[in-house]
Amino acid sequence: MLGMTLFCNPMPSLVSRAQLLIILALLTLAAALLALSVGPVPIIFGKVIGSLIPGLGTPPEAFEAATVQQIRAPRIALALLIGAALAQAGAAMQGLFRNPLADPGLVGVSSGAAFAAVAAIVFGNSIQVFDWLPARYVLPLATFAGGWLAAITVLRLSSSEGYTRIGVMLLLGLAINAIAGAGIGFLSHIADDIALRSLTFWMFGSLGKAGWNEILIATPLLLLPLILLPRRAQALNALLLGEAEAGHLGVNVEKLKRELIFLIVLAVAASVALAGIIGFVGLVVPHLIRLWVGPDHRLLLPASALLGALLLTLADIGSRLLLAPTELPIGILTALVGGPFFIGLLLRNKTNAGVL
Amino acid sequence: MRKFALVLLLVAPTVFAAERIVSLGSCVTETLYAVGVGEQVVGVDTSSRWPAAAQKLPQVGYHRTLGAEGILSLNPTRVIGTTQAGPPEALEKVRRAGVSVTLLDEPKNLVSALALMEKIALEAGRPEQGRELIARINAQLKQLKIPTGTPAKVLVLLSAHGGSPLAAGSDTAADTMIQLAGGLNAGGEFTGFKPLSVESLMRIAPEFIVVPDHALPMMGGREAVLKLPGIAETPAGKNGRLVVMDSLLLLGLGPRLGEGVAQLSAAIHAKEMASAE
Repeated sequence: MLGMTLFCNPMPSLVSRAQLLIILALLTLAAALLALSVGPVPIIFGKVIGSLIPGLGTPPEAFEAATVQQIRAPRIALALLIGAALAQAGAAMQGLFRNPLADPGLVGVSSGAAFAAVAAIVFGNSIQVFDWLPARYVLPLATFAGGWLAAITVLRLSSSEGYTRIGVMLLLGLAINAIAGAGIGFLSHIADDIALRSLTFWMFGSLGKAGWNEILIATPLLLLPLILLPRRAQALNALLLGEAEAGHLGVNVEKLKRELIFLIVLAVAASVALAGIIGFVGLVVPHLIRLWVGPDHRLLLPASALLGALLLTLADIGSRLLLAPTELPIGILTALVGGPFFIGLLLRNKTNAGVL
Repeated sequence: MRKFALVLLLVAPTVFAAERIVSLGSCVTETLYAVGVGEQVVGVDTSSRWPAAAQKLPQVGYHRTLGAEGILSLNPTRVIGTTQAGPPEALEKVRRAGVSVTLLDEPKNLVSALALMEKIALEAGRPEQGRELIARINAQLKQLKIPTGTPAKVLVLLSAHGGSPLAAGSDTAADTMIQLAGGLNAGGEFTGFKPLSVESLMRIAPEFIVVPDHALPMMGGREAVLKLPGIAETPAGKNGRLVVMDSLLLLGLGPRLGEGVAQLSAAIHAKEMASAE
């Protein structure tokens, strides 16, 4: 595509694009193996292998096998999926809005989901919504639906005559965030002590609730955006030039906007439904990659996904080990470690403002 | 045959002693210690702050945000908690790792509190000690001398953030305790815990304010509570009638329920007793 020549590549020539992705993938794999091997229950590496592949390694005790298979493995799978989905959705969102402050929650999806989740926590014990629906699915389903409802409202209100105004969408997202915030405030006001603490912890996210059933439901919801977003990398590159310019380069800009929003909302709503609010990953991981390799979405999207998966897996190790046997909410760790790291990176690259 | 029975008697306690219990909820922990199986408890939640021995045990976190592997790392044989313990997904994983998980209904009043203690004693293999504990509590409650006449209007406050104190209404542990102590819950017209405005406080005009000790520093100490807008104008505020009680004794509905009621009753009947002497 013609627009491609416009993008400079600040990446050192020593590492090619493919090499960068392979390095990130290997690091992520190593982090996942480390995460499987460590935890409050001491299990030697041979038994971890034995629990995963029968016949290999050392035969584990029954409870050791259960710990690896039922507790560690699903949460690591979830950390990989959610870390990748949130970071890539953030990268796509920043490209779509052409705004470095864009975060995947910007179109109201996180706050809409949070409002629905808080409502489910506060009223969850007093009302049985449907007889056929097990209580444990009420919270994730409500969260998923709330995220979509908020996002669709923003999308509808910012579109007229087949044209979606991105600037209006941003402001509407802020307004929806404020309304949802008021709703959460009201629900906290009427919540009892137990609901209040539950919702406080939900706001900081946790990967501890997921079992294999949830992973089975979540995998297609998170894989779909993970596979389809990188296919729009060329179009996102063109969009960096401006909507009209992208149109001249042959991109169907309106269709692109709708597809991107759909995929981003799917990724974020599914993530929030399964693990609560995990901040920082969606906003900062794409920046880290951009500072490192530049704004070309063909590399930015997959690299963000890999770094997001890597960081969330490492954060989860910290969440399980730092205060064991208590679990530290993962959102606290991602923000605490990521924030200062990001500030350091910004200060080092202050002069190179063009990257942002 | 007698020999066999003797062997059984000798074996039975060691079978129970092999249990490693993780206890979730202050009333569960207190009851386990009260029926004599405290040495089997290997981990507790953050709300279990009595007895002192329980405070020295590893804490597995707040009982609504438990981590499965954290509990398993204590190598328990069983987990006993209330239905408030969760998330259910984490406890389900603990169960799948081969640990017996028993969740009992959270106590709301005297009847359910006693029923819970009986069940915990049964789960711990000490039904006899459980019955003794309940008999002791009933005796303590019977011994109480509650003066006749209009009961004192008592309001239990939990916190005062944002200016509106959070008060205990009906259907709370505080309500049960006030009634058993021979008082009238000034917050009885609403259910659960509700923030009260200055005007509502003045209207319900409590004669005694009761605050659990963990909340007092957050509320700024005795003087600050009595000077809170709305409270200063009530009979309790004007006469400086603020009762500070151990949080678990006041709200725990555990095996020390009898002592808690006696302490509260003594505090809210101090005036009558003084005049009767």
